[in-house]
Amino acid sequence: MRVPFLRMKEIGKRFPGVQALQDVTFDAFQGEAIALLGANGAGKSTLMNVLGGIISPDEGVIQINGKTINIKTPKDASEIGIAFVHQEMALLPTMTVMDNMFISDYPVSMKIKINRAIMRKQCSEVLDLLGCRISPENYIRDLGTGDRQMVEIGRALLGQNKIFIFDEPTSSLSKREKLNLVRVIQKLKDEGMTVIYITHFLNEVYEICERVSVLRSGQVVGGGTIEEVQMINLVRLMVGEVKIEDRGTERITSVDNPIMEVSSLTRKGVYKDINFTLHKGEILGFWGLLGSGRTEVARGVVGLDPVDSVKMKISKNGELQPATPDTVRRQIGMVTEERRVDGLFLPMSVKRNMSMANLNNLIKKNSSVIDKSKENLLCDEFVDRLNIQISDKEQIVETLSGGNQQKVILGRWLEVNPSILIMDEPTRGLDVSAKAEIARIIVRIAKEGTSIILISSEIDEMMSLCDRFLVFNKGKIIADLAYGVSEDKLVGLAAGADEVIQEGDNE
Amino acid sequence: MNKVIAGKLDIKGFLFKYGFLVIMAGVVIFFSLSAPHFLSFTNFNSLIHAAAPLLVIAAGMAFIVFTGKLDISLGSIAYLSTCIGAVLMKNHGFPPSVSFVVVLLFGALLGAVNGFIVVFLKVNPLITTLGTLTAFRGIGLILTQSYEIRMPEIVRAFGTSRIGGVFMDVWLALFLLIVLNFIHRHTAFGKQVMALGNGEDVCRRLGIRVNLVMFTTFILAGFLSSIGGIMSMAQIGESTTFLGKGMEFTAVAAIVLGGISLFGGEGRILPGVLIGVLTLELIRNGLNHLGANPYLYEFVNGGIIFIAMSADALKARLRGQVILVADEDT
Repeated sequence: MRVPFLRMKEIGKRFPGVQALQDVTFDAFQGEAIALLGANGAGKSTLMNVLGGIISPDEGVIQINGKTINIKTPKDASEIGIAFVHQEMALLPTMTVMDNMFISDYPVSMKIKINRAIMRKQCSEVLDLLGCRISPENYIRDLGTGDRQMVEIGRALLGQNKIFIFDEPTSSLSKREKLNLVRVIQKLKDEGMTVIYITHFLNEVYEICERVSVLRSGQVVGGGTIEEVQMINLVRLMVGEVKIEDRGTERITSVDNPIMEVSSLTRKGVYKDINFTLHKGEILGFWGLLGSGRTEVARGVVGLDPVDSVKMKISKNGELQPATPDTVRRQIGMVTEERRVDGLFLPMSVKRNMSMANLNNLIKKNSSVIDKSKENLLCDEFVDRLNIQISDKEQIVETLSGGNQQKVILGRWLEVNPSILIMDEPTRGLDVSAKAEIARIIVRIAKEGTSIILISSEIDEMMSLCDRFLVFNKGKIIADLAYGVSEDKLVGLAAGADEVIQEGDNE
Repeated sequence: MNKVIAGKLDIKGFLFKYGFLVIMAGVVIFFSLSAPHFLSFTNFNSLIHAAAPLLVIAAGMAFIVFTGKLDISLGSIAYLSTCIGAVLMKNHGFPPSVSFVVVLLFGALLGAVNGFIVVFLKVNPLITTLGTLTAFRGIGLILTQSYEIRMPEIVRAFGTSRIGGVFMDVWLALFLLIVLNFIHRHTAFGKQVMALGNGEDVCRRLGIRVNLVMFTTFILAGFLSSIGGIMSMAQIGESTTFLGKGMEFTAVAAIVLGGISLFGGEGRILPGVLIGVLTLELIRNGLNHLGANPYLYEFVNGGIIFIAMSADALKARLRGQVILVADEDT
């Protein structure tokens, strides 16, 4: 057995309310690219942030050539020769391309003056290598996202790095830019460098990498050389096999009771010409990999992000009528993807969090004062119905477990009782029992007549809950499939390999 | 259709880049036409002389603003540090040279106090410097018991002597601007100051020592304020309780007029600070020549601050649109 160049050994990291990494051991060799795969929130970025010195782990060590090293800051990491191309670009819009590349380590002459000639030369070399046609003097704010990504990649190629981490580098690249990147990675491997490649596009794994490692819920669930694992198996490893309550075959198939109709929804560069109809009491699954447009479309529908065009009709007294922003606000609830970021008011109480969407109904008649008894009553009711485990309703939301936090958000919307509820990854980061509980709640509210749009990265969850699936790929809906479709077909469509899609269509 | 958009963008781009020059030219033309003695070497010489302290303090403010923050205590730093020098000269018989070194050290020290509170105690910079704005001036008033302290002859001479017909402090201010412009444009520190204005989290991820750069910037601004304070004290010939009062706000107005964005990361020391300060001073001087009510200047000044900042905000918004259009084309 070869000794790995890089070994991250038994890494553990806990964030409040969630075990982000647990006993993760990750090896990488020189002259090879290893793909790090996993669904949303599986812990890939956390693991790489540990390697990049951005997060310090609670447990575990990092070894290079068998020697334990200390990485406390991003600077430590870069001194060891670890270059990190972040998914979220770390760019300075008001500065030039070459400033962005050299900002933390300028070449200077006479100890003080920045040597622009050297910068320009090295910068041009790297840009040429990447086949990038921008000038080192261009300002970042004037560049498109593809070029920005190339600058980010270019920065990693400068200097004497030995380990290259690419975190979803191709999400905003054109085909030509992608080919250039593949070529550059090949060159790095030929020079004996270690490449760690994070992606959601599985065909890229086969194009670029020699080995894979799959994370799920903060643990390593599989891996090996790409010859050993097949694409379908990879997706299965990523999305998991956790069995949760199944609705059985008792699904809604009626199409005569539309509650919302969305047509020609477009946001330039993100998604284009999205059309779909949602029916009463239906659980409609938005299925696709991260970046396929599923979350973006959901956010566009409720107006969380700006859209370029949309026609929307929402049912009123049984008839579809053009929706105004006001109807959208009143009829649609949204459980956002990142509950801690844009879902909860963390330092506030359970009660306040639950009342927040319903304030208009909580105020006393003819005044603007909140009716405390009504607020308490409603809060108690939903704490009870959703079985939220709290000491009392004044408890601060931040101190709750992930599952209970999610239930607080659900309770908030159920108080309002919207006719449509969009849920983006409602069970992400929860343990198995909490997942099952949330799933039960989803089924129950659908049964009570609320229409639900469900987004989840876990195929089993989708299979067991949804009446219908819209499959997203590259900002488009590529399939509209009723319950009964095979899991393999859904997985294949989402994997994004063109061949797989065609196979599916031929069936 | 595309061409029309491109044409519009060009006008926008021109205004982005040269808008402040257009304003200054407009001010010069207006007063030249309406005030008879406005356009003369003597007037411009005394005008830039009066502006010299503000030039230096505004340059210090510019560095803070490049990082996306504000320091509204700079006028009080100018006051307190010079008070200490004045007291040393008057009550303790220190020679002016030694006293001024102490003044400069105190300028840096007071800047460091601001920096410490902002960087290490993580207090919002506006709140911090709002506090030190009052506190520093208070200490100065206690030290001097709010008396005016007359300067020795040699200091007064520095305030009024000329080289080549131009006042000495003007030369000093211009020299400092050139040095600061060099630091800003050609050193790693200057670049990292600009980087900070793009967001501290990004800078941290890029391995920039955010705290160190920020702290140094506050020290630099305090140091420059004490130089501005010395210039101002030498011009007046005494340490007065009004020294530096309100100067921080005038400095902010000046740098915004000079095309430096309050959002950070945008703008230049030269010609930005020079043009901004001169524009304000031209207006003040011009209004004087017109025999306008002196309080009118306060009003005009306030109006200019407001307009310049609205323009700054508008610019930031339009810039977003410009990028969107560029994206579409690709």
